[in-house]
Amino acid sequence: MRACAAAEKEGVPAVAVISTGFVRQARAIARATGIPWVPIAEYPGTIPIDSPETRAEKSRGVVATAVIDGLLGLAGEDVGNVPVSAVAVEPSPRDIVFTGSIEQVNDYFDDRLWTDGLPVMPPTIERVEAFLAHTDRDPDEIISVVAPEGREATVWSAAVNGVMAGCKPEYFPLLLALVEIIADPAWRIQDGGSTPGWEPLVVVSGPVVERLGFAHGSGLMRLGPRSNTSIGRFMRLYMRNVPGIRQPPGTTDKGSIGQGLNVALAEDDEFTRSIGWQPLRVEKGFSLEDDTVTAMSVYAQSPPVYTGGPAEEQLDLLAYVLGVTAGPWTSMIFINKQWHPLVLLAPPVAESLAKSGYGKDEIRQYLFDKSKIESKWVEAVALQAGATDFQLSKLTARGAQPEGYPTTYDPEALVPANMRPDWINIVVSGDRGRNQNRIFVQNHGQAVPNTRRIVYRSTS
Amino acid sequence: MAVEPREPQYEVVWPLGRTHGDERPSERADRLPDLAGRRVGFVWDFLFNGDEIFDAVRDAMTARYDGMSFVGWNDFGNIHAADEEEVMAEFPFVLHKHGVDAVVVGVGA
Repeated sequence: MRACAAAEKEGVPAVAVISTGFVRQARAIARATGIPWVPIAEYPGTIPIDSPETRAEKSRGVVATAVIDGLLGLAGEDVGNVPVSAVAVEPSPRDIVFTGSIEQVNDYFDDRLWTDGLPVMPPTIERVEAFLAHTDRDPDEIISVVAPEGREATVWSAAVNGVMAGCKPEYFPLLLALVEIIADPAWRIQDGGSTPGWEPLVVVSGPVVERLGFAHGSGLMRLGPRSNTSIGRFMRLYMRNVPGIRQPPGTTDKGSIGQGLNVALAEDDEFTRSIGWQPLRVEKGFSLEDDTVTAMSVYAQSPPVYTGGPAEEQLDLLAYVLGVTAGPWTSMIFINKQWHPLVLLAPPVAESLAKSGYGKDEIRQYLFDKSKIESKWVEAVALQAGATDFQLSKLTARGAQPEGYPTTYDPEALVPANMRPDWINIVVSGDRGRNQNRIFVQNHGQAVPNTRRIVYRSTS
Repeated sequence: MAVEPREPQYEVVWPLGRTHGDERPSERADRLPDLAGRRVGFVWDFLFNGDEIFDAVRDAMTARYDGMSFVGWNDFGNIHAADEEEVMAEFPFVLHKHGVDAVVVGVGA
């Protein structure tokens, strides 16, 4: 739709080709980007499932007819239905939109897709103001206008959704840092509803972990501790309500299956430093004294990876799992030129690697060098997702194969499953009595890890 | 008669953000009266078999209208990959450089 809008602005009429399952989303985005009139030529069905012959037949037929009608102005205008979540007259921040019992408030919000399916804390003005007491910032400050619905992300709305998510008021500085990330154009919130169905993962680093009682031992990724759980919940709730990423009956979230809620992951700062490694915030350019949050997309996790024995054997296993878990998506990595997996190392594993002389950089390089996948699978994923331009035989023939790929086409060749070693994130946390690691798979250029320092009220 | 305790009532505020005032409907390009002799650009996100779809649409168009010409997706670049910002910055110039009369953009899927 962005290209349609750009064309229309130049006086060039546009029509968008959209498959059936994505028409509602396209109309919602067209409306939000100010081009509700742009015709949509619907491709009936699911494109990659159809045979080439069927694709050609449909495209020569109904799609071409819709394209021609759209360019000639013969297509009727269909701007779609107004979203369930929208309101006829947008209230001011402090307007009371509803009064009722806790159950009635939840029903009212649920009917309008303002919740995530779990009960919310009613966002009263008093509760919101309790959050605002933890910042110097003006409640009406517009942090940014965020896609896809073009809404204002404000300090006030961060507090409202923080209340709803069940956060405590003292979490508010973290929530503001997370909204800053969501609002950063580099994070690409407009891709928050893409079909891989990624879920944000928040990683907390710094003295704040202990101060606010984040869990970072056994069960650290389970719902339970209020800080981990409510802050993880806040990210998704805010993405639903302000950017407007909502699955059906909403229109803008097309995550096909969708990754479930991620609680906030808290780094084990004490243990990380005890083995001589730098914590994540220092690696991201902040000081030991700083508190930071990092947010990134995660669309899959590896199975638990138990490692033990010599360091190289442990790293070989981690590299193998990284390759098979993330590797099939490698074509998208090279198309989008971004790839930032997160390797969560159990404390005992990290300690054993450190005692063998491995620091984080050495581990990254080892995993980069050893994490491979057969090129035929890279190509298969691309082709079956319809990325037909990523055909290795053709790319190799013209010398355009990705870096690290062989110069002659060989479907059995092992190729890199990562783009750059320094893009492999490593965090130490979890059960200090167990050797279980896990790999979190990030979705290329969408929500690349973004780290912000938590800023507290000056009088705190 | 016992009086049932009344449940607490909560006056709640709106959790969304206001639609930004600058997001007014953009300028609308005129539709074309005819496609004969027109130049159409295909703008692709390099996904979902768009190349096949566009080829078939092009064939259908040329079968119905004389004198059409086309600007391919490689001339515009990938509108959904790492270079998206650069591609979109160049997009207006590419449109005018090639004298494009209309664009078909895809594929959303």
